[in-house]
Amino acid sequence: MGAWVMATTAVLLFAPMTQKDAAAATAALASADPAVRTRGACDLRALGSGALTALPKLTALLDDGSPVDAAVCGDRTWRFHGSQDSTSPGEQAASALVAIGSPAYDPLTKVLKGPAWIGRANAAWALGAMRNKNAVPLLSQSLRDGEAPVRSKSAWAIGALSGSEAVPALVEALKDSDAGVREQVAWALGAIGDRRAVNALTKSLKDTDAGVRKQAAWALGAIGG
Amino acid sequence: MSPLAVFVRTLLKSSAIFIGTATIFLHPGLEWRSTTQGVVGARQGASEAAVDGLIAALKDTDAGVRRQAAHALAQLNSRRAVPALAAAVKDADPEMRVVIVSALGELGDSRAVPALRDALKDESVDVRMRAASSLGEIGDRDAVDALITAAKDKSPEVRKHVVRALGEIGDSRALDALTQALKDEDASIRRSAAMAIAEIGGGNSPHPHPHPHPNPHPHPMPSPRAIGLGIGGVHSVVNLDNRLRIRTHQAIRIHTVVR
Repeated sequence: MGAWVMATTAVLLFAPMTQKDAAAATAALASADPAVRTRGACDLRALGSGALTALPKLTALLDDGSPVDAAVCGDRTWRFHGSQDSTSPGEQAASALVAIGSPAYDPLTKVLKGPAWIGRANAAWALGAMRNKNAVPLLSQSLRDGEAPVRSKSAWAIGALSGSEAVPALVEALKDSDAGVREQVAWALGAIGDRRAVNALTKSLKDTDAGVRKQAAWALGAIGG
Repeated sequence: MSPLAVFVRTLLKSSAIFIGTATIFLHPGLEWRSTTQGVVGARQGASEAAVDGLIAALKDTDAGVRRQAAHALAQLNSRRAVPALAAAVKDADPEMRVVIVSALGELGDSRAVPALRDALKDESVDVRMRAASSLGEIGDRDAVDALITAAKDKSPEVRKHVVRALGEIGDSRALDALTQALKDEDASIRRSAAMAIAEIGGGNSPHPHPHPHPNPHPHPMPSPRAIGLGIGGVHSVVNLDNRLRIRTHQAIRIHTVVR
């Protein structure tokens, strides 16, 4: 009973404010200042599924890679793998779309096949954070994307989704030309923990890049005996 | 039920059993034995190659790779890697030595004891501390003399882990050193020493002579748990010589005080 009263009070207190915030934050997405656009996306993320009306504008913002100081979002900054100090409107739009949830899934899969690589990378990340395993085959194809950041984020996303059906594609991606991608792929294979990866990871212990060797050793330990 | 119905039912049941058994023996898809053996064999091959690769990676030029390889070998519970891990206790990177020494403790293999005894003299406090814990985990009595020496370590953290390890190994040779540790300036060491003495007095090692008996004790001894801290442990006290009994009482008293 007490909880019900509190929940009702909370809804009554915050619902009107939420709608007003959503409108203001959505307007901010169109600002000429990248910091304002980023801040708008952050505010929308805080609203979660309440930001549903902003879905098309957030999707369009995924291609926006303008570097912005991560501090613009204050304490609420969503920390991305490998980009602790700087963020972008696109990255923050991706996390706002994750917060919206399943209605964002289809738009994200379209961006993953889109023309702009920044959008594809952000969409890959968002699909990994959404906990919908249907994205694994699409992300698996993106392991062959022309741009290294897209391949890297796709590998992360497959690992985050524990997509064991993508293990053969990941094993193939351990031969990627980019060391950062190989490292992320080794991580994903360790996170999935599928024994089919053991032989390929053993070969990666002799990779030319120390980061890849380290991650391969970690993955072999994580997969276990 | 008519006798005919009973007969028909029995016939059906027995034929079902016959058909089922025949299927298991004749069906090619049910050759589970050879199939699983093949899979397990392939897996073991892959794991063995992975262990070889990780052993080689213990000599990687990058310290981060070496550390991660040592950690992975511990996770894989690879006893085969113990000699290579023991050799790596001389690594130039102190963090690597910490990982190695911890991994050797996790693997719990007595072959690591000489390397861990050396690690008790390492320049790094962390390495010495973990070496003591690992020797306690392994529980091999060949470590006792080196641990007794390490009970005088200048670092209180190291002394604390040494005292605990001596309690875990439970060899009565450690009693002099542990009695000294009852006067340590550090309260937690005094407490650990009291516990260790109680553990030794509790029946883990009732041998008053310096060399441990090679065979397990022929008489069933009361477990330390049953005795608690030796309080009311009449059987244990009976089995101890006077020296040890006095120390156990001392330990109990101090334990009560410091607690």
